Amino acid sequence: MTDASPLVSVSDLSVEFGGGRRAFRAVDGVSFELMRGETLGVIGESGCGKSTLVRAVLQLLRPAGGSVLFKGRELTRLGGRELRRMRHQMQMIFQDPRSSLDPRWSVGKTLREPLAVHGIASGREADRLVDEMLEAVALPSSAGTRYPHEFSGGQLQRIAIARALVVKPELVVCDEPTASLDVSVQAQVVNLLSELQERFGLTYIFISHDLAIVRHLAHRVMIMYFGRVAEILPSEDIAPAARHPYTRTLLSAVRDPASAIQRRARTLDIAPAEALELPLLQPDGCYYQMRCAHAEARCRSVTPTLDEVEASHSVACHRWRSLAQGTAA
Amino acid sequence: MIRFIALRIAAAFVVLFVVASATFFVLNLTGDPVTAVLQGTGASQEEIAALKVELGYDRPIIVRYGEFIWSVAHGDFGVSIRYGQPSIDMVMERLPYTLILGGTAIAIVVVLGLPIGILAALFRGGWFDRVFSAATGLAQSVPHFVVGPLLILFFAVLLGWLPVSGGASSSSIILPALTLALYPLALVSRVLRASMLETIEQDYVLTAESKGLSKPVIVLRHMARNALLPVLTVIALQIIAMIGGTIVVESIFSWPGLGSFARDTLLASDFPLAQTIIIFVAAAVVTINLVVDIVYALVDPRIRLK
Amino acid sequence: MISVSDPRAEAPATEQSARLRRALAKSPPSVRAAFAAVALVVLVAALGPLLTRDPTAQDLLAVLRPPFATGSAGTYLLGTDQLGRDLLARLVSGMRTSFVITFSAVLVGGLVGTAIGLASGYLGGRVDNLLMRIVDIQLAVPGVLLVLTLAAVLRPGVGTTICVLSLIVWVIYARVARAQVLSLRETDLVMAARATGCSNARILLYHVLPNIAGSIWVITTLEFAHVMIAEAALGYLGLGVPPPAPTLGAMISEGQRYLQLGKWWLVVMPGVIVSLTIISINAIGNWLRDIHDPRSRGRPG
Repeated sequence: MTDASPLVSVSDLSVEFGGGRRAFRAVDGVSFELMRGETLGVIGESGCGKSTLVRAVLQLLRPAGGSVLFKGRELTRLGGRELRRMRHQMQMIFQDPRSSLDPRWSVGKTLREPLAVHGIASGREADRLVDEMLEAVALPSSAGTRYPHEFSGGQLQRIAIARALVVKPELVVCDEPTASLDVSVQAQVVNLLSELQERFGLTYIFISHDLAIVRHLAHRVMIMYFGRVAEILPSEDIAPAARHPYTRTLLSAVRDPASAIQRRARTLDIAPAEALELPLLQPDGCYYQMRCAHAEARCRSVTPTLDEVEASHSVACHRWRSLAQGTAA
Repeated sequence: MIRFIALRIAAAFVVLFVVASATFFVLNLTGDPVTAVLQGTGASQEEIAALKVELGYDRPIIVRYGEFIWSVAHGDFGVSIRYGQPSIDMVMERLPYTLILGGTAIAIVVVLGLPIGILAALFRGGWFDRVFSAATGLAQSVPHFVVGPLLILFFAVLLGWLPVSGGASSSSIILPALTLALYPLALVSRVLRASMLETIEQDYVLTAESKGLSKPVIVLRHMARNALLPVLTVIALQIIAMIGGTIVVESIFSWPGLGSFARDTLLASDFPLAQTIIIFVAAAVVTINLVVDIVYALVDPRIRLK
Repeated sequence: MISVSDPRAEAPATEQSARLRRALAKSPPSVRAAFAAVALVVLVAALGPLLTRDPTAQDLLAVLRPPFATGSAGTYLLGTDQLGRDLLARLVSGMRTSFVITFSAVLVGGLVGTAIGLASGYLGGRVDNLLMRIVDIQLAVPGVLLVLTLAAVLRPGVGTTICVLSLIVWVIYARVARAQVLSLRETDLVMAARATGCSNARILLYHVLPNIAGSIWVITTLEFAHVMIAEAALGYLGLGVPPPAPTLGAMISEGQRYLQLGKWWLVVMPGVIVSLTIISINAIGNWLRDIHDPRSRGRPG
């Protein structure tokens, strides 16, 4: 965090699915800034729009509105070709390497592709970079001649990480990179990611629904609820500083794995298509009103704005001032 | 629902308009139909020129196109060059033959296809099923222009039971209808067999069995009825395929319907008549698709959302 | 239909051809017989001119002779036609023409249709809408009628027949390719390629196309049979490649006139050969479909 200007600056970003009157806002007016070398954790229930948000940041989905500044350039206005030229600076790691790696391609071919696409290296030079990157993710260079089905899930995710990093990006978006892995290898991958961050000076956006992992890896945590930001706060003192009732519920859920919120999170695990049938989930005012113990009249009519509690801590709740600090809901 | 139907009907008219326009340009841009028809008939250059003026073929194509669309919209499809009669009258004269042929073929498909498919499903793996599998495979691969002449060879030439061709006697329809029915017959009975076998695994069949209902009762009352919907879909789609099939089949047997007429007309380059036939056929296809779509939307409202 | 269901079940290209070989080794005898029959017909058609007499040479002293009859030029294995031409030579030559036309039409129609289907499905939006409306409009006119109309308007010949037949092929490929791309478009595989920075063309060629190749092969086989029938039908209706070049359809149509005289071989010989070829190709196509997508096993085409 040496440079003063943010690497990524997102403001009022929105993504819609479906058109016209039936349009469903999967991401609704999200704003945040990301400094160089920082890791922003994004957390929320399945279907809360966190994957959609990061895809819109990278312009893999075109947003319906808002802006994304990357190193001062407005990504939303870039054409396909210009955008492609910038992609080596911002890469993505997907949830399940089994579906994001082409089973027909050898690992070496997969890793050489980004180098060729961006004209970074070819021939021996490309082979050297690939070997270097395989070593960086702790895989033998012999892996290059093998195919995805010969590897375990954890190894595959290392390959996916190597593919993202081989072009030396500045920003890496990790979309639940540990969710498809066995618990035993999750920690390895998380440690590898933080080691690589230090070594290559990476900036991460790290999505997860696992608060423990996010706290470990992230400098700041963004809590999302149905396409909106509920709260953004530094991860070290998340428990005492949390103001939003939803954040507190999430924290208590971590302490008590069998709590009601987890069960409810499962029942609310809906895909966008089904969400089209459920306009009740996006009522007027605060989306969290129906599950909130502290909701009052204005929560049902006025959408809360993101207020700054203190530097690098903002919350979108009408009642954050009156809710006592640190007490769990 | 009404909105959906209205949209579909509008789309159907757009399709027909484009088909009519494309047909007009394809048939008129490549040459001059009057010369094409009268070529080799001994007509002199003056006679050809005079007929061109009379039928309006001396004017620019875009004017003729406008006139064509205008008159088609008013139900006037122009005059056949070869016969000098309104082409719509000639189409109407031939249409009943094709309808009778198609109707007979569909009747054969339903009357034979349903019991055969049910039997094959009931005796799955037995000799009947194996013969069924081979026979339907054969029926789906042998083209019309082979089946037709072979039927003529056996039933008309060798056995002398049925007429070789034409539409004069009432028995003339049997061979062309069989030829036309063969492929859909095989397909429909196969689909029925497959969907019956799927039904067998389902709970309500087991329930019926546990209630002690006898096998034929279960088959007819429960299984066949539930397996029928995919069969109806296939039949509807096969009707569209049959429309194309009539061209070849009617030509094989010189059946005086619209199909053989289309071929003769195109061979003779009588383009006003040909374009009338094409528009008619397209209208039939579009209508069948429209009906299928609407019936589906009525049965299953989710389709409307697609 | 077919989809890239479980990537773990997929294997790299080299292993896939090995898998195909294993599947072939396990295939039922009927499928192996079909392969043998197609290979034989193709071989004979390819070597045709070396093996047989001139298909247009007339032997007017030996017209309408039955199979194994002898004429001035020796034994006519399959008999002669109304002009005393060797039926075997005409059949082989007709098969040759048929294969050339069918192969070219499937190739042209398949390439164009696949490209259009890929673009349509991948780009979506207005492009997709426009292209699929064009497909709808074309399908409003039955293939035979469309082919017949164009063949009537254009100058007859091999090139014309290929062009006209490729028209009925492209729609099928466009629809299948589009459906497959639609199911692949939102997958992580394609998303990852886009995130890497691949261009649309690269994604389609290197990432999407190899993954839909299986279904493309299946429809290629089935379309081959379909187009072969259409080519012969066109010849039968008098709008194929013009005489004196022999075509299977024209042979059957001419032969039919002599059926009442009992000259059965003129129809039966070409009919049986065409049918056997079609049956074999269809058997291979259905087998390919079954090993490609086990769910469709036993389902009719």
